[in-house]
Amino acid sequence: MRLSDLSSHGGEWLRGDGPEGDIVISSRVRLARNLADHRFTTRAADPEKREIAEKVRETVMHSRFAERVFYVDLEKEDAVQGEFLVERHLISKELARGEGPRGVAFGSREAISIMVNEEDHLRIQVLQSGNQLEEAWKGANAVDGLLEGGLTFAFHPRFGYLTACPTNVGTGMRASVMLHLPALAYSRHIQKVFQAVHKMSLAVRGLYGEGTEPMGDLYQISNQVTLGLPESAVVDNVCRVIPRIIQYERQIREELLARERRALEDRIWRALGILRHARLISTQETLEHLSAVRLGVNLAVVEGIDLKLVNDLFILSQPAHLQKLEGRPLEPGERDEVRAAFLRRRLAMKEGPAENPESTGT
Amino acid sequence: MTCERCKKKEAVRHESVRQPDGSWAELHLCDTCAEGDVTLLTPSSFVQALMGAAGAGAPRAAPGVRACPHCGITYAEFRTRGRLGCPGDYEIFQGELMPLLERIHHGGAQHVGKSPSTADGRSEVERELIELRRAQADAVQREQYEEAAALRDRIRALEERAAGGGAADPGGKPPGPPPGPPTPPPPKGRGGKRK
Ligand SMILES: [Zn+2]
Ligand SMILES: [Zn+2]
Repeated sequence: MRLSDLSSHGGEWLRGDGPEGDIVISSRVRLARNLADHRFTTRAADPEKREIAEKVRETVMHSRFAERVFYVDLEKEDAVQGEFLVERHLISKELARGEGPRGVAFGSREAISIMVNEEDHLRIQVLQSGNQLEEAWKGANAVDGLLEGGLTFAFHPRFGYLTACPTNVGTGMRASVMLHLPALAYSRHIQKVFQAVHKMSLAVRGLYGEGTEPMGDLYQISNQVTLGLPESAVVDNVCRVIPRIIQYERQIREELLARERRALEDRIWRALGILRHARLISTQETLEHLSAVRLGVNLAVVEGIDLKLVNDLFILSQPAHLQKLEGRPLEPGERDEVRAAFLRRRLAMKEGPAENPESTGT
Repeated sequence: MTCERCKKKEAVRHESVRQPDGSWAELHLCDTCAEGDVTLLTPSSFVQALMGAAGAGAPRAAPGVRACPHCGITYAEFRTRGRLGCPGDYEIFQGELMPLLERIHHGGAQHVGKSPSTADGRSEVERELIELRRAQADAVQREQYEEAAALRDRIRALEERAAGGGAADPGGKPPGPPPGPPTPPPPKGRGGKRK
């Protein structure tokens, strides 16, 4: 299959119509699994990695975890393809930038993906639109069950599923929810969220997971503990904190609207102005302004722009997607120009009557 | 919020970091300072940081000399790399790993979640397979192809035994029907087939 077919829109999980979709972008569950009779990927040489990849691929492709399943052999792909899949959240940076036999299987809806020979032999991932962590866990559990029929996973009655890194041993599960928290970020209340979240043994990470910086006011809340708690309790722990953060974000949004409406509107409209008129724009600056526009759409400050479009732009304006859309490699400096032109095109198409600033007065 | 290290740039990394006394503290750093900070929670650096903290008080006897018979890793190697070598290491290095696991998992020391429906007592065979594969790779590297071929035959035989007979497994539960749709047999007569 041609990956370029995917490049003009984001995955289904970006629709923005999931529960609490104005704040919760997506819910994700990842399960780490290893074959019982092989060394971990990090210690295996290429021939063994190839054997592992082939075994997993065979089972995965026959498991029918999705209606149509694609497999990308990353050993044969160039760096742009790898980054492209990272930007779509189908694989991790580690897998993209790794070496040797490795790959990813994913369904056509891009809700389910299975990384092969990342740090662990398998990383099963299920992504859902909006606040649906429970659903994501059910999905991952089902995929795990399907694969178990064809593969024997390393498991120990005391330590659970055995993983290359002891931070994942036990359930092998990372349950995370991606939140858009612009009001908490603008008002600096976000620090209180970090503190509360850390007290619950949960972690806060950026747009692309472990070791990435928060960009575009997007934050991932996830569990850290994988040993000693059943999956359902971990899902519960994360689920319990999410409504409180959502409520907090909504409250600050209300306060900003009540007290600083003009300043907030100004910030949102300036952001849209820059996205519509800039001639050079970096990824970082794009995400910053898209965040403001996304808030504007959700607060009905800006009308006529579809939430799905804004969600898509978060992904489509990333470097590898731009290069796919452009159909050629781009130098970093050139990317900023192409990105600006792309944003002008996509945002100009959606011009609506409600965007006259006169109509939004208090 | 400004960065705690340079006190100049805006802090963009917010991580909780284990302190030597076992408590957690928040660390807020700018991108520049975060870049060079080893305590931040990428999994391997996290493990290394924890092990560094553990080393201060705990006496270690002959650290890292013992090697895993299945994959050859020593505990010292694990400490440097932050990754184990094979599933068997959790038993081999159980003594060293337990305190580490309890710290990482906030006291958790016993798995209580889901288990594979096929989990049983086959682990002996699996570890033997890891060992044989390692010996086979070694033989190939030393260009001892006859030895490698002999090892390959032993691996095949063992794989077939594992695939063929759940009944032969010592102490194993009776194998239940696999969940979900039946998995088609692996084609092309490859040796890697399992039940
Ligand atoms: Zn700094
Ligand atoms: Zn080992």
